[in-house]
Parts: sequence; structure tokens; C-alpha cells
Amino acid sequence: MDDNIRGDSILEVRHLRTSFFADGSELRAVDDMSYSVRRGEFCAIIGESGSGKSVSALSVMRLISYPPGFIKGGEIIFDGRDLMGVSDKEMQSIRGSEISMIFQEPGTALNPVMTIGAQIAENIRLHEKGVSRAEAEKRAAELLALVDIPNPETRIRDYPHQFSGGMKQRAMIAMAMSCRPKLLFADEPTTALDVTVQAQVLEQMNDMRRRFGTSLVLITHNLGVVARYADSVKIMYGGRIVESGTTDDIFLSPAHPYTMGLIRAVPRLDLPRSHGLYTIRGEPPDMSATPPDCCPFYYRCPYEYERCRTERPADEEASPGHVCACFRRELAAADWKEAGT
Amino acid sequence: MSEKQGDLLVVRGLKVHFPVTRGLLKRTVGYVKAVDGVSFSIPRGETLGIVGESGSGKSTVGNGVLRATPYAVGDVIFDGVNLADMSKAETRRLRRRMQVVMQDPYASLDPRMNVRDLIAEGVRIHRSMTKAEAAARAEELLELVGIRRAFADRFPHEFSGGQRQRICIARALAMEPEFIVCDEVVSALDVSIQAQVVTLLMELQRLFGLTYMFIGHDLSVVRYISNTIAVMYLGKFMELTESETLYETPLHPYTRALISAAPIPDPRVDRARERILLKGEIPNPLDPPPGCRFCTRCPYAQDACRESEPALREVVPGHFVACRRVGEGGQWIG
Repeated sequence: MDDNIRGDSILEVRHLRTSFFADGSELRAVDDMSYSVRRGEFCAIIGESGSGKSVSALSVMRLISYPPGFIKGGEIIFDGRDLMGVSDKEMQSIRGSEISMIFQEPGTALNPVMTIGAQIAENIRLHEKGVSRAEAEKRAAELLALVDIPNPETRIRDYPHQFSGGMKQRAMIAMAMSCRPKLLFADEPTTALDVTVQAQVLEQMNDMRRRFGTSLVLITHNLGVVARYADSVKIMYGGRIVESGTTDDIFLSPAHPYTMGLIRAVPRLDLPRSHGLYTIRGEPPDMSATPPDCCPFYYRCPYEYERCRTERPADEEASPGHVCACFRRELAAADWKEAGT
Repeated sequence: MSEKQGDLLVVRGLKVHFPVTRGLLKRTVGYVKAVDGVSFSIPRGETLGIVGESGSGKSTVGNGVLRATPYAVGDVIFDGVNLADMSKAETRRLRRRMQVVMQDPYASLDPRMNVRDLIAEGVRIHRSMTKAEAAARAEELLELVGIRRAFADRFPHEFSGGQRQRICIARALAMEPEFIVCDEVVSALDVSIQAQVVTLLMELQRLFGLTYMFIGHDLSVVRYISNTIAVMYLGKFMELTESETLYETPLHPYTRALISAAPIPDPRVDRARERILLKGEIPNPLDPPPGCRFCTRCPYAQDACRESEPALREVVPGHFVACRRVGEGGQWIG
């Protein structure tokens, strides 16, 4: 899909397939996933636990360890290069400098016996030769100031346990941005934080993205949090992208029944309680037991019919740039429109 | 909150102060005032929501009500009886009627017991039943919470997070309680599963006339199930009112910030609404700020707010707020 924006895309993933092997069975965590991220774009990947959203990011970073994981195929074109053909050593220098990642648990991602400043400075000196320690520390303090850490010159000498959860995540953002990466993956960066701190951290990430011109891929299970910020949204289910489009496409005229279910399942603070809470029946799929030639959503889908069980729906354009893989998308979209949600 | 005839639970002046000790002799050097004087009541069959961030003391209110902590002070009156006046044996009998479901269903289920036995255990504690009868009752309960009877032989690890939470609910129901404390029951679940569990809890409430205390950090979820909501911050209630009023006319700046931070899956609505971004994070409860507890993060704080603590007062009938800048009738004092 979207070959037309190839010229200005920083990342293009084509037919990515990553599996995990255990007890003689194969779990297809990422099962033929294709997407692209444009330069400077804020792109959101939405999926529930087990949808393969984190594995897809780790695959792009080539951080899948074998065994049990294995990237079975696909192309990962980053800034004109196919990362699948890059040596491990080369990949190591791309990671942290050109592509960075922020994880859900800042507590486990930071080194507990190193000061915050030293950790940020280490990353700078690792990727930019010839930067002195003092200079790197000065830059670390500047970065902490950018993410609103008070008294950054003294706080760089603090250890991670002296930082609160929100501050740790902001330090992680500072570290991830320390080499001005072209692409940043943020995997559930605010899920472990309090609501009011979540808003701060999202605002800061967006701010840093603008300042450094970085493309951001935000991975989350809660699509409510991205409505304000994201330029484009990709909905993942069962290891594939089932729908992708602009933020307005996805939220205002969703085409996939799963997307519709996700939107309706978020309790709406702005609507009266009588509005009702929609539930998606059943549980997310077990990807080691789901056959490849079916729609992985069929047994939870209200629109499911014969064909969904035996054939995998192909990507189709619902409107230019808005792609959806569902046999029943027209029916579902008509119902959505009628419901006026 | 004004007490009424039909209240199942009345709490007056609940305080939970954990001592902080130091040294070999465990000298008490200070107190963490996790809950610092809260009062409320819950009518039978209704839900009180308690919403707050981590460190606000919301879970400790639940523990205090259940007398699950030795440091609770204050009156907890359950169905007309003050828990403080009861003997240990009497409390234990009463505890059957008060159950709790917690956030982490992984931690609350014994991994070596199949789910039928896990639930039958509760049934047999308070009902003289044969093993077979209890097992049959356990299967009934599983079905009630949406787990197929055929899965009764499985162990907790064979279920997903949402299913495990259903099992925990079935376990609580086995005791035939009247009151359930739901402590962050959906926080660890996926959005689509959250909706399922909340809907289940509401159905069970209708079926059995249950009374809930629903504790959470996500206002949009808490508001969904609650009749009344208390907004908590550093051990105190900042605002307490009927759930719809809280969203329609929030009075406390903290409540307004919480509402503005709640995600809304509609970009048109989300981009257009009021945004209050708070500075910093919740202060250390060991060393709360003088004056209003929220003053360090409040965008509207004045000198007076830093000097003395505002009381929780009823500014509109049924609407309580602890903010100096909210006047009688609920108007904002500029």
C-alpha cells in the first residue's frame, strides 16, 4: 500500500513477518505487516496485548533474539537502506543515534547504579565521537531542561531512584532524543503513569518531536490518548494492520468493525452515561492457534460470515489513503454512519 | 455526604496514619497520613467511586473500611453496626458480607488450584455444603461471570487477564457479600476487556443489589459505574458529588485537570476542549505542603491557599468541594 508517499517516508515496512517458536509450535506475532512513516510524522499504532505491536517495533530495531524469535521475512527500509541487510555492528550504531526507543517501564530501562546525567552523556559519547565528557554532561543537562526537569544541573547527578515515575520517563525521552534521532518508537510510554502526568509526558514528547523534526511512532492500546496528537493511525490486530488512515479517517469514519469496537469501548466522559458502554465480545486471538487463512477478528466480529473464516481479507482503500482489510467494511461503515457516532 | 436511612455504609472521620520508623528500636519519626479524615456514606445498592492518582490514598480508604489495616481510626458503620465496637469473631463474621476484588488477578489467585476449587473454597467457608455441592455452586458462579463450565478444571495461568478478573469476581461472589470494594479492577486490562468487566459488575449489581466502592485512577471508567464520586488527593477528598454533576459542573481545579486529561476518542471534541496541564507530580505524602494539599500544582493558587487548609464544604446541595476559590453556590471567586 501507499507507494505514492514513498519519496518522503523515513520508514517503510513491507510484508514483515516475525514468529516465536516454542514447544514445537509457531506463534505468528507479526504476520505480514506493511506500513510507512513519513518524515516528521506522528504516527500511532494501536493494538491490544498480544496484537504484535511491540514485536513489530522490536523487529524494526532488529532486537528480536533468536531463539525463540525470528524475523521470517519482509523489508525494513529506513532512510533509504534495507535494515534487513545491515550487519549487527552497523545496526548497533543506527540504534540510539538514528532510531531510538522509549519503553513502558522507565524504571527497568534505566541503569540503577549510574547517574541520570552519566547515562545520557554515555549515549551521546557513544554515537558522536570526539565529544568530551564535560560537553556531553552539559548537553545532558540542557536536554533535561527541555523536558522540564527542575534544576537540571544538579539533577543530572541524581540516580534513577531519586526520580519519580514521570521524571524517569521524561529522562528517558531526553536520552532517546540526545542524538536527534530521525525516528523514535515509544512503546506505551505513558501507560504506567498517572493521568495528569500522562498528559505532561505526551505533550513533551510531541514538543521534542517538533523541535528535532523526529518521526514518532507511538504504540499504545488506548486510542483515546492519540486523538489529539497523531497525524495517522494504524490499527493492529492479530499481527496485522487491519486499518490505517489519517486520524480523522480512523476516528470519524472508521471502516473496520474492530476499530469501531475500540472507539465505542472507551468510556466517554463527554457523553451522558445513558450513552451506554459498548463491549467487544470474546478475547484477543491466540496467534499460535489461529490459522493464517482467515480474518483473525472473525469470532469476535458482529459482521462475520462464511468467507471471513476461510479467507484472509486483503487491504482495500475505503477512501484515498484510508486502507482497511475487511470483507464487510461497506456494511459496517453504513451502520456506523447511521448510528451517527 | 449527608447520611440517609438506607445507607449500607457510613464512614465518619476515617484516618489511616502509617508510622514511619527508624533505627534499631523502631522509633517513630513521623507519619504518612495516607488517609487524613474522610467521611462519606453509600446507600444500599449504589456505587461510590473514589478517583485519584497513585499516592492519593484511595486504596487505603478501601483497606480502612475493611479494617484490613491496624492503623485505621474513625467510625465505619456497616448496616447499622460500628466495626470499632465489634469483637474479632464478630468482625470475621461481618467480613463475609464485605468483599474485595483487587487490581492484579495474577497475584490474588493460588496458581496451584483449579478455578473450581478456588471458588468452592469460598463457598464452603460460610455454607455447610458437601464438596460436590460446593463444586456445583462454583460452576454456577463461573457461568454467572461469563466463564464456561467446561473451563472449571483449568488453572489461573491458563486464562487471560480479563478472564482472571472474572474469576476473582466469582470468588468474591461465593461469599454472597452485600458490599464489594473494587480496587483498580480494570486498570491492568485492555480497553475492550475493561468495558466487559465494568458491564459485568453493573449487571451483578442489578442482579444481587450489591453496593460497591469502586476505586480507580481513570475518571471516565469510575464515572461510568458510580452514582457518587469522591475525588481524592493526598489523603483528603477534594470534591464529592453525584457522578453526572461532577462531569457537568466540576468545581475543584484538580477535578477539572483530571477531566481535561481524560482521553476522548474524537479528535474534534478533543482538540476543542479546555486543557489544564498540571505542573509536577503529587507531593510526597510524608511531607505534604502546608495549606491546601493541591496548592503546589494548582494553577489558581493564591497566598491564602498556602497558609491554611480549606475545609470540604457543601457549596450547592449535595456538592462538596474543598477549595477556597469556590464560593457559595459554586461560583468561582476570581
